[in-house]
Amino acid sequence: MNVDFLPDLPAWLWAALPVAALALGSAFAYVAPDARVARVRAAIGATLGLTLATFAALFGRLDGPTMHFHAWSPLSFGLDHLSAPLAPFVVAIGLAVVLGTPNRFAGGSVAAADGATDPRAGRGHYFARLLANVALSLALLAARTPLTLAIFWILSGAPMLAELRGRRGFRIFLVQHLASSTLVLVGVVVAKLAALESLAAPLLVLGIMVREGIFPFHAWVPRFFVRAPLGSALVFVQPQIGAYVLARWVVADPLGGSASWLLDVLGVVTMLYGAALALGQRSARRALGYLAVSQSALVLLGLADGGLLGATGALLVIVAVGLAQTGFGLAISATEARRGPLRLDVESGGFSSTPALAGATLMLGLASIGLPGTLAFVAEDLVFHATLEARPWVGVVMVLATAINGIAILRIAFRLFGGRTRRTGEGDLTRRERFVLGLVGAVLVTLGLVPQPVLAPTMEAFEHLVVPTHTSASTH
Amino acid sequence: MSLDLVLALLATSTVVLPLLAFGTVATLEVLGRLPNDRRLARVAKLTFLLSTTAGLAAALVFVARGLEPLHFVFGSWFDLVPQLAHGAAENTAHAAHAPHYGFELGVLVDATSLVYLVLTALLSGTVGAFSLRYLEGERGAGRFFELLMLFAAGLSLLVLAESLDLLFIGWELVGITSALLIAFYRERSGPVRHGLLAFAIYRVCDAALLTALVVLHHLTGTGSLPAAFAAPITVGGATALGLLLLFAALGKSAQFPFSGWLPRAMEGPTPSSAIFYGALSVHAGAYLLIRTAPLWDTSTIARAAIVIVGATSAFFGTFVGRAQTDAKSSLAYASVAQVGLIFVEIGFGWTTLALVHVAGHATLRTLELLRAPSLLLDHQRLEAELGTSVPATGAHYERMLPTSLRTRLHRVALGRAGLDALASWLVARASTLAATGDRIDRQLAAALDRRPAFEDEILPETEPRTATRALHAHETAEVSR
Repeated sequence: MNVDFLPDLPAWLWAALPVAALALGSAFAYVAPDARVARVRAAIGATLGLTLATFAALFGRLDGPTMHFHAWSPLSFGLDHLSAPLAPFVVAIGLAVVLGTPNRFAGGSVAAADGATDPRAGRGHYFARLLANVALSLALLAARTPLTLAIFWILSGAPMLAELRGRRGFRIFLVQHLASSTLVLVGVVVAKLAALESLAAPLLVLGIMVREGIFPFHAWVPRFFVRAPLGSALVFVQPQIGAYVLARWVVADPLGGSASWLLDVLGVVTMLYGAALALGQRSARRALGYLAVSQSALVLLGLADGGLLGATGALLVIVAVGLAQTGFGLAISATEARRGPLRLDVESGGFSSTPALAGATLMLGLASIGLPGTLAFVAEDLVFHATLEARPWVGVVMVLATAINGIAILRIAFRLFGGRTRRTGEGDLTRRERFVLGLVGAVLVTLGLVPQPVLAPTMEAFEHLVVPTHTSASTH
Repeated sequence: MSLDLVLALLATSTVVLPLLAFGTVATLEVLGRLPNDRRLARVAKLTFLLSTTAGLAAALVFVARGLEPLHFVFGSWFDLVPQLAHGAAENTAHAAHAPHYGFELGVLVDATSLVYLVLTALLSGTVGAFSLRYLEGERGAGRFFELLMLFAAGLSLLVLAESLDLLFIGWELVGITSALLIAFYRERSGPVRHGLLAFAIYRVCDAALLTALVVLHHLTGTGSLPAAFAAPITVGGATALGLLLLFAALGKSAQFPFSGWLPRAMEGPTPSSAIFYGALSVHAGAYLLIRTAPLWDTSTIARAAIVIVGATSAFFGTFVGRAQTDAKSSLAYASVAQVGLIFVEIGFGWTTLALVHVAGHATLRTLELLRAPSLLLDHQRLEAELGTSVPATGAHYERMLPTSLRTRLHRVALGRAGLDALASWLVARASTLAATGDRIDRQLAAALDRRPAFEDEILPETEPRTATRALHAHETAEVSR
């Protein structure tokens, strides 16, 4: 859609503007005197970024050739039909986390019991890194050639590494990031070489699997969720950049043969495994990590199909479940700020002493498992339909694992807030938290009741990109 | 306005009215302006009075229309039509492969749905009317009435749904509101655990319904029930559909082997809330089977499976129910047994009988559940009237057995035929397996992180405060390092 009153900006500028807004916000937050000011600056940067990204998605110039992994050109940057609908959403997750991070953790500290302060608390580095992370994710979305993509893939781990530096969990994140970056970079390079071209697909899929935590590369995710500040972990994991890259690539070159088969088997294993381990967890953060793992497998399975409905559904799952799980994670983080590390093997009480906190956790949890009336219901419905139709056994496992995920999420909410309350004086949601969690919930419910405005453009995006290249390969 | 539209609107209002009431009460609660309990109860009574009236009026119009089933589609909720795929000729294969995906909002009104509809509104209204006595002055009245409304709306939607897709939404709403109602007393450990158990069983069985839905789309190209009834379905397809739908019905109807949640659901907020599960949602499974009967009735295997499951449940419910020591558990197992018989009737194709059975059973069970708290009083009155103790009845079959066998069977029945023990064993096995996976993951991560595997383990103290303190010390030490 082009609108007359807008200047005719080049495509790269449409993508660069929100990235620049986020980068500026990050820089200003970094030099902020304290965390409170940093939060305000980061929030302004993210709001500006969100506005610009939404504007770019609605009115920006989205044309341009589809990225093709075998024919790389030098660097190129800009949003297209596939990345444009995701761009505002990635920034929205960042904004929600910036606003929703409890004050206790605004210094980037992980859950610590009362009084423990992080030596780095009081400075704005946490918010600066959050925003830098979002900016790099957005840049990755806007990468239009394989080389650009590989570069931003490599850079995207930097803010997280800075956040974790000198802390437990740094090394495992570094290992993960080095592994996935190397695989993606080599995959991109190899695609160019005629002799080794056939290796490109497995390498890229492996790189994506490492980043998305697909079995057997999943072990880093739960540990990362325990060690990293929860907000940073959500911003890094929930936009599911790996899944996006797969979508990007499936669009240009549908998976075939061994890569597709491998992804199916491992995806199915991951979904079930993540769901089962989330259900049995004693630590709330580890449970969140396993839920994220299970969810990313769902998205990858939906995408790997290459069909129009499955891909549309998978992309919607990224948006709907990503946003809902971010809200759920923020509610958990708010609970953690009040109680210290959260355990799930006992009921901790709190439904009546902190009704808003408990209610928000429960509602956002239900929104992330596809309660009818929320966007996740529509998204998962689409993925299930498409997958069960094309690959029945994959679909059956998918449905079953999602059911287990639902039980796991209700268990988390019931264990955290059910039973007798032993603590006294625990504060309910603050106004800021109420605002953020309420807004996330409202967005999910509104889009869940009226999904057409999100569905149609997402489907259109795939049609623009899938149909022309896909027809030759879709005779499966 | 045509008679069709009138009927469709009247029927739909049994969904919309409770939904509106739910929205209003929930909004008021979020805004912190919840009206007092009496007003809430008045809203509930008014809502259900209106929706019962609407249901009855719909029945009248239905009769006036000549008892013809009405299939009425209001419009589509969302619709995905591949635009580009239609254009190009070479894309026809692709277009066929990715058919348009939409969600129609419509109702299917016939005698079956009207009976259920009126029952739902009437019995939900009864719950609402009686609840005030129990809930007045207690916390959470707002939540109770919200869940009551949402439950009734979900059940009415399930009953009226024109497509299996829409039915699934109502089914899910009934499931989640039931779980939250069972866990209404969130301060107590029991209800919370039982709510989670019911939800877990529901979710697993719902997976079968979702699969059945897609199988139906695959076989007939539509989720709309009237269209699917008209479509030819192979016997194999009918068997698959029948078995999946049966599995879906097992959970909601608490049939064997998923009966365990029903007696545990009785610790609800009021005696009358047991009506939700004991009299209303246990029949949802039966309704699902009655509604979809034309889809699977060509399959002997599916019909036999339904009969076998129903008969087993009826036997199991009677056997275990006779040994129960409290009124509500006995009633729960009696419900399991009766719904089992209803399943047998459905399996044999006697759907009209099943429908009459449902209506009779639901109303009788409602009365019993409402009177259950006054059991002793009733008994005393009966004895006063008789002038002597009430003669013991209902142990005829037991007396036919030798004493040693009787004791043994009694023990088995008290242990719920070992079903709970089996379930606990399975859960324990699964947890062990999950714990093994977890340990491997931790050790792998620890090796990569060069840190001890269990350093982030929350200490297994019984007293959370101590655990927090120990962790606090741990964290402080870590931070200051």
